[in-house]
Amino acid sequence: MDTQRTEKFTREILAKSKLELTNPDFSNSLMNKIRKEKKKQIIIHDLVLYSLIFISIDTIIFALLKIMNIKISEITQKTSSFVHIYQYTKPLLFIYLLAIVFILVSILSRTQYKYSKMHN
Amino acid sequence: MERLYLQKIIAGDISKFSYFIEKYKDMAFSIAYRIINDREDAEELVQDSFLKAFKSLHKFRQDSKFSTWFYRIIVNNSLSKLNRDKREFYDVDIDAVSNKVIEDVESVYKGLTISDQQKFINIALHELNVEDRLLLTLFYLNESSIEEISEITDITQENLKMKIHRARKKMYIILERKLKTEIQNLL
Repeated sequence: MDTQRTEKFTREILAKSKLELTNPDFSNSLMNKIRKEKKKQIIIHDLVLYSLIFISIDTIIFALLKIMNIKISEITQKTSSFVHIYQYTKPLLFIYLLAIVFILVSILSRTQYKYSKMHN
Repeated sequence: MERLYLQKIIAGDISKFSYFIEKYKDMAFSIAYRIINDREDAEELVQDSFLKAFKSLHKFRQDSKFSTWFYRIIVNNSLSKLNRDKREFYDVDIDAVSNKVIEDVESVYKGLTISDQQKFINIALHELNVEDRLLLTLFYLNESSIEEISEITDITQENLKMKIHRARKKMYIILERKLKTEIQNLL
């Protein structure tokens, strides 16, 4: 039997060995896993991004404290009363809280937006 | 077409990934099954490999075909799962393969029904070692080129030609033995 014929016959018999996935839900379940993975990637990406923004805001706040010459260590040394510390730092705490809320809302809305875009 | 879809997926349109799933799932399953020999494990492994491919799609440089890159993931994952194939294989004397053997196989094989042909070829492949099964599947079933198989398996092209030749010979020996036994049982 010549090589060409052998090759042809081998190809022919091995074609019979082809296997097929019989699970009809295979593609759907895989696509669902991929969507979940993508959602996870978006959340992780956004968390990193907003953590950087958060750190930047912190840095700005500390810079403002420095400019306004407010020393929290001195305030805490002068009085141990929490009310006093709170009065001094109230505006800063407010900015801080606002930043946290802003970051959380942004993460949620961006994830939602990207996720809806992903499905369309 | 594939390049365009890949760009779209990377840009965020993941629905296009279903094109790759539909196109490559059966061949990926055939390769995984030929290595690990278990349907359920092979199916799970194909899912994991698709997921892995999706996660690392940005690393795919597109200087080779998607199929080559993806089948390499399938082969590596399957071999990792297999760890070490401790099964005893057929002791095959490949020098015993002559044209006569192949002709005998052909004449008996062609007289079988399609389901019996499928049964015997699957039995013969099962008796081969992992590497032989994989190479025959890639070369004859998937019709991959030697260059592509070399990229998928990390075996040099020269070595591959020899290995495929030997694997084919082994398969014929096993087929001949199996078919002989079958004929004897029928008589």
